[in-house]
Amino acid sequence: MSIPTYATIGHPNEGKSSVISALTENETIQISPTPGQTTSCASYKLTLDQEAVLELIDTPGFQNPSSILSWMDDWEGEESDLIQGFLSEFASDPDFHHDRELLSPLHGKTGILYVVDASRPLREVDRQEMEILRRTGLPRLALLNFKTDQRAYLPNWKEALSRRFNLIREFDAHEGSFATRLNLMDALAELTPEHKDHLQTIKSSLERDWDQRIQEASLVVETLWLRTLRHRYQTTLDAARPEEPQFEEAKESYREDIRGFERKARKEFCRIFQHSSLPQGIGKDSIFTQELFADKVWKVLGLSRGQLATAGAVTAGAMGAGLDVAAGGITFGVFTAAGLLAGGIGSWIGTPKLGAKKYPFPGGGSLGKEQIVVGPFADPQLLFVLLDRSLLYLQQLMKWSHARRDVEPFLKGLEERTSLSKTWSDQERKTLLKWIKTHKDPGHSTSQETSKAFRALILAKLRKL
Amino acid sequence: MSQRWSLAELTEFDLRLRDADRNVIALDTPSTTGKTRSDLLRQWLRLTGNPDDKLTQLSKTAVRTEAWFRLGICLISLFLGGGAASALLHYGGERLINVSAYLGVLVGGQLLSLLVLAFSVGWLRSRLGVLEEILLPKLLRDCSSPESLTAWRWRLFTSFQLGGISLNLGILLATIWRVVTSDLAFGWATTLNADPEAISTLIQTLSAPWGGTFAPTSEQIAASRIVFIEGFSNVDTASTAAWWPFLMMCVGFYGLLPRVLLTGFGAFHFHRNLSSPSFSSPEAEQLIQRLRRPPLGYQYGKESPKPSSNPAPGIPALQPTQPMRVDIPAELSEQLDLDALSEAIEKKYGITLSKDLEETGTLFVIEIWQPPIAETLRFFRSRREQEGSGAEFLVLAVGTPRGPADFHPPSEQDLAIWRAKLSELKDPLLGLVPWEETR
Repeated sequence: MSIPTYATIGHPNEGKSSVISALTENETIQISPTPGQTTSCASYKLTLDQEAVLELIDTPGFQNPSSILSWMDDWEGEESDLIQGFLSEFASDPDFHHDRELLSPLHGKTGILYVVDASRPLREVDRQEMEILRRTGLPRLALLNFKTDQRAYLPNWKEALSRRFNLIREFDAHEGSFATRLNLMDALAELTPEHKDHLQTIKSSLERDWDQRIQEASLVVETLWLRTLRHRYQTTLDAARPEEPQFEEAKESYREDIRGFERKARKEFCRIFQHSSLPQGIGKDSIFTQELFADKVWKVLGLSRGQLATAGAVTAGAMGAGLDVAAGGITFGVFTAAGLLAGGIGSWIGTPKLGAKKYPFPGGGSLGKEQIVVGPFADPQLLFVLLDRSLLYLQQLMKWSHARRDVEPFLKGLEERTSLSKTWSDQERKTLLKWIKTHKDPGHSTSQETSKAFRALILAKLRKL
Repeated sequence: MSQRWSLAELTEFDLRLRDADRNVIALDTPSTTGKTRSDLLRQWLRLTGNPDDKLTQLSKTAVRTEAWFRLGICLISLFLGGGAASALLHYGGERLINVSAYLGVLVGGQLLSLLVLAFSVGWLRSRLGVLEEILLPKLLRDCSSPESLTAWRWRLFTSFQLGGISLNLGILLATIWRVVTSDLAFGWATTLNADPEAISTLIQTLSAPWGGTFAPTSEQIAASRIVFIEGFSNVDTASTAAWWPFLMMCVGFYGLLPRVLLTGFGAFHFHRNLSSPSFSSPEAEQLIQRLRRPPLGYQYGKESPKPSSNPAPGIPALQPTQPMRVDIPAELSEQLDLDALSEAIEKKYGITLSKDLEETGTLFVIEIWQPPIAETLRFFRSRREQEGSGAEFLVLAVGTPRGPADFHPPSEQDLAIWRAKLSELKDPLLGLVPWEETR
């Protein structure tokens, strides 16, 4: 059985290639503001387990709609031979090269995806194109792409299209979110009912694949936390130089390492969501792309002071509880209470500062020489800031269409300046704090359980984004 | 059942996972169905590495280095034990060898260290990082959550216990050597008013685990008491020689046996860890997910050639020298007040517009947000043929209409596209002016 095949057809520069780019998550497709750059058909086959299951064909734009329609008006042959007749008639006319290319895939049961920019006025040339496509007799779906926010012309378009097309759907290639793509699968199933089951299977596979990507992203977030939590920068102390500047250099190197971990995580996110490079527009001028250790970033993102105090109290209280247990319970929880109080007050007064210390232990291949050690950094706020920045980044990345080629920020409907973790419940924050407690040492016996809870929480948050 | 990992393989897995995450997606993974996590990851490891690979070699070197380290510990411990025992068993004939010193140092010291170890496991765990800082391969320390870490810890633990075994073997060998080659005389002494019966009870208790055999009798214990003020005259020679089997049994039971048991314990955990590594780190979990995910993606056929980056030449903004006719597409003229528009054009551009069909020049009002297509060029060629080579053509490039005699100005991008396209006509009397905001 042949696989469902759909060709995107339309006037030049209406966004056919953008639609293909968004649908196939391919940012390498040439999208040019100059019309007529697509000069021949390009085929994109969706493969599942190495087997092609769906084919999309990108075509050049119409160049001679008026002439083609006139020729069709004069056609006296069978309607089913119309396209073949046109291709034979204009086989050697260079003026009709684009038109031949765009009409050549229209045979058999190929579905037509007619792409129009519905943010501009409808003109006669559009009606001619619609009529040409109607005469092919093939299943036709009109995709209303919007190059600008203008919606005044939409009723005209819908009215004209409804006469000649089986289905009309809105599809903004620049905001080609996953949900939009799934909706298109439903539309294709409606357009070509003979492929309904097949397309449903593809849709389920796409959904599964998307969910697995989100799961993978949650694991990348955990890796980022783990690397940051345990990171220690170590360098040999130069006895010939003053110590203080060396401490500052070591602290900066530590910070740079953490920035590197974040960059690596972002690259991973992009790979997971099929972006070959970091989209420049994401987070442009936003809090989550500014300098990680900037005061402003730490004020806006991460936990509030009160939440941090609770976090400090929970950690210190746990240590106090350990002392109570060690004392056989005869202290009646005095240490726990003291720990809670001390930790809470400590965190309220101020967050820990990143410190560097001399470390007389030999290591790093410099036996006998003193070492400068920075980290691991005890402040959970660093982890929460990184978490917020990762989630905010993912929030935009997951909605960043592969058809976008610009570097303009993309903030529609996204509240990107708010910390996400601040709004989470106490129970959710507790899950994260428990993770921190059990992952400081690589061999902690309960780290697998807290990891499981951490992953489930981040996964749930990512699914909601 | 999954095949057991070797320490070198597991270490290589950690290093490769840290270094080569991009390779994962390039891997053409064979069918993953029915494979355990361990088998799947081993397959990935085999496909991504090769015996001559840097990371493979590094892992093997790390394991080899640890083996040398273990051998070193064992040899040093053997000599330490032997040396300590030899020193304690030094006998010049002028005074007896004090069994308390031998037992206290060589057995008591070991028992004490075991007790400290048992009661400070928690404290030691928190300081394990310092020990690992020196002992674990540096590359492994750079991994945030190495899967091989637990195996490495058990390996090091076992190595230290093997050192303990060697220490005790050294003690025993040195003791046997001294017993065989010297005439040793043991005794015991105390300042306290201790009854020899009490010492006898203590010795019986200590030797109880091996059935009380090899222990000196009560008489021998009493006869080997050292009282310095009395000298050695009343000490029985046979009794002083009866102690060495007991001492060796003490070393064997209280020193060697716990080390053997701990070595077995460590080896058991080491092998169990290699038989079923947890692979629970987020990086390993991520890799497993990637390998198990059914490949889903688009294959691309031929693509359009890349657009030329050479800018096309433009066309001039022609200033007409004579009155012009206006040519407006029918669908556009329906929305406009043509008289008002003519007036606006005349005012804006100083062009005289005429309804006279005899005029030779034409002003084409074109919505240039519509891209120029082949038919557009054909239209101009055809008009040129109709009106002759002397007629002036001017394209008034407008945006969408915004009133009966007004348009949105066209975008610079659209203007550039049209200028480039019209220049293909190579028509010297074809110009283009953009619609401007009312001046």
